[in-house]
Amino acid sequence: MTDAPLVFVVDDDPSVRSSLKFLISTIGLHVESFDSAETFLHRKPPGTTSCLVLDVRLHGLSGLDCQRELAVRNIHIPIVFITGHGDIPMCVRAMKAGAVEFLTKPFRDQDLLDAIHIGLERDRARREEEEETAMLQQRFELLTRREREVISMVVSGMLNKQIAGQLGAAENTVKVHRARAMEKMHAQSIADLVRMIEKLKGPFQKAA
Amino acid sequence: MQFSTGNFTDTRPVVTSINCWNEIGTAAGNGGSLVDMTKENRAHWQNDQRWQTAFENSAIGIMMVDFVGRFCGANSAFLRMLGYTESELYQLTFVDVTYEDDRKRNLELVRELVEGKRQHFQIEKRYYRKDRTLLWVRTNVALVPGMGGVAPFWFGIVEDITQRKRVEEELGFQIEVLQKIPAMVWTVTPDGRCDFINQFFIDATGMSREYIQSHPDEWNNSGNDLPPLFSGLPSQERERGANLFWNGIRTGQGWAFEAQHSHTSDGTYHWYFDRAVPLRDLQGKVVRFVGARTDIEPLKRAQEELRESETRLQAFFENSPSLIFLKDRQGRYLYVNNAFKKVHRLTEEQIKGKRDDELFSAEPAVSSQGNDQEVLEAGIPMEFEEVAVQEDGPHTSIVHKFPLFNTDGEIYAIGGIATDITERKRSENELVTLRDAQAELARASRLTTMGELAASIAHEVNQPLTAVINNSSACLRLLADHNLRSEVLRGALEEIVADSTRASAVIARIRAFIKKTPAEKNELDLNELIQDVLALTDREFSENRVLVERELAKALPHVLVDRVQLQQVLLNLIMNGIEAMATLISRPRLLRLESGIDESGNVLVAVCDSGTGFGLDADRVFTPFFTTKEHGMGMGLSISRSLIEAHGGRLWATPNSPHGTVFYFTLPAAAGSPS
Repeated sequence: MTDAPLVFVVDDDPSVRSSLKFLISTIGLHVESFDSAETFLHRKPPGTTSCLVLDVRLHGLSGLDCQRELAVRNIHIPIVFITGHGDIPMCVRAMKAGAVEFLTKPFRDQDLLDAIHIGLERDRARREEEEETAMLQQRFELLTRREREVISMVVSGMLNKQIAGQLGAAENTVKVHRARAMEKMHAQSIADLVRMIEKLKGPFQKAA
Repeated sequence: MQFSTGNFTDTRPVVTSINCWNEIGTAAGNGGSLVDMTKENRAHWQNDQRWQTAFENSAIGIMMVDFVGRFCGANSAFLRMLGYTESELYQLTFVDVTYEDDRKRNLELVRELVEGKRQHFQIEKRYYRKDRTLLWVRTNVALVPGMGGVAPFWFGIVEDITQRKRVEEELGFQIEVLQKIPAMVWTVTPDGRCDFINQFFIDATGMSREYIQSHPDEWNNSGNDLPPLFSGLPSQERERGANLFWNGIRTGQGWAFEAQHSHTSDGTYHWYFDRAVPLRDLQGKVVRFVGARTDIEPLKRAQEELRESETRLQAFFENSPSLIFLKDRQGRYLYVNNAFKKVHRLTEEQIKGKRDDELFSAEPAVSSQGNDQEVLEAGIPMEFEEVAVQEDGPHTSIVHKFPLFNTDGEIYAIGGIATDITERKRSENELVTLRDAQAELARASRLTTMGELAASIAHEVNQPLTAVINNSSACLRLLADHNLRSEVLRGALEEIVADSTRASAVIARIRAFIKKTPAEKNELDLNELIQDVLALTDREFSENRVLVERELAKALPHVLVDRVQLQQVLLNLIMNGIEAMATLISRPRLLRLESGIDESGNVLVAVCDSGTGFGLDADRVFTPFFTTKEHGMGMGLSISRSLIEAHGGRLWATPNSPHGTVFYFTLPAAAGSPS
């Protein structure tokens, strides 16, 4: 059941920890709980849709420290913060760093569960996106240097003749490269190809 | 009463019938010549009734005594003097009725008469009356020779001189008094000669009678010289003395003056009062000056002492910062001291004889007069609080008022001492305000300490509450889905109960801290208290990464303390220690709590940190408002020290080795606690 969504709970208070586990389990979610940020960070990052319910005040590493550490490790798990007494600066800091929600104990069960849902949905979407990008990336890797050059010009809106002039090649040669690249990328149309390249732009640019 | 010649028929010899004759032994030779001449004798009397009547009615006592000494005739005046009847008297001899002390002289005179040495004699002597009282008489006795067979007899005329004797005695007494009177008494003639001085004068001055009574010719060369009477005057007084004397003599006025005279008993000078008045004859001419000199040294000394004591008292009154006054029964001022005049800006003339309502505004005057009246009625000292308006506003005084009694026990005046307590009252009020402020600060500081703890305490409460809500919400959800199994519900409920209990325990602990309860002392174990406070601050330690060490003595004596206050102190010291180490990076943050017993048997607690320390001036930290914290009030340690001191203990700080500070406090072990 590695595909079932997973909720992580980190709280150093055993009562709170167990009550959260009970509450979250009532909506059929799997819960894994930890008594400190450190033990949570030791766990292998999950391969499935997941969300983290994190207490701010903890023995040892605090909740905010944990958030920072996850970011450093490039682990993009949505975080729902819970705290005994939240102040505004703390809340702002957490939200800026991408937290889903900042809840002050005690909170309404629905608020927490809603936040968990949002977190899981966000994680699921992120994961899908990551998967698609990874796939496009694989396909893009199969293109030759000339094919990459041609399609980047196609995407930027140049005509075949213009591309041929720019590259000093025959217009038909450009047409062949373009068709082969579209095939490798599984693009149905020029518009489809533009969307794919846009999605790859990040890593593409990074690579550039 | 008939004048009777008595029983002349008794022929017994005088010698044998009366002992007293034997004593003298003079009548023996005459005894044989006695013959019975009664008849002739009686005839002789009867022949001259006129004599008889004259004798009988005479106011002077007349009596006859026969040759053996027995009374043989007496007129009624004589019988009255002695109180005997005629027949009683004739049983007695003249010796029987003569006072013992006078008998001897009487008999001697009788003998002289018998021996023919004199024709009659006169004697002043005392008779015993029948009632044994004494009677002074003067008796003239003559021997009537025997004639014509009539035996010779003594004839006596007796005069009662009691009155005269009394006067004489009185005079003698008076002279005696004059001599012994404890004053120097003299008389001086109009020409300045002293002609009498009493014995006391001689005793007191040591001068001779002759010297003092010497004639002015012997000492008055200039006509204005000092009389011997005044020769005890010291040199600087002699001229004045002489002038006074001669002036008094010449004007006939006498004199009166006080002066010192040498006193013989110790050679010192004594103060005397010297006074002389003229004694005039019927024509008003001065015949003598009579004078007396009285030793007034003790009086003078007493006066001096009185004056000194009065001056002293006066100094006290005048220098007293209190207002002192004396009023008569009508409330009129008799005396006021300087402070009174100064405070009211009045002179003595303005005050004396005036009443309060004439001097001061109506309200205080009425109040003061009412108080006076109370004292008059009660007759005892009383204390009042009176308000008087002065230049800078109303002043409150404590006025002690008391009655003054004359020798008849009646109140004649009211004395008063007023002490201005305005300033004292003001400072008392300020002190109260200050104390209130301190108490408020103490509370505020406690609340600040609480504020520092509030975060963790809120967390402590929130944790169980969160758990309770989570568990309850979960159950509700399952219930809505008809999916709540009883064992799940039981588990949840058990957790809910546990967490609720935990929450309420936390709240109870908070309440114990912030409640403004008066000190309530109980015997308790300080170690337990330390554990309690450490439990409460556990979170602070973990969040500040402070390592806590405990070194608590076993079997610590109990202490009698207010739990909340002691928690307060410990909390304050612990929080201070944590803060002192907040900036430490290079060395461990170590807080050590120790408990033990010091050498005096007191319970000793030490809170040691490894922080930055206070340097040498460790004691300064106890000063109010001293703080090293950005948001501190600087009251915590000051209050902690007063709390510990209020428990009879001490709180102090010393540098810790090698770093930081140690705060120590001691508390006396509770009596009878196990040690």
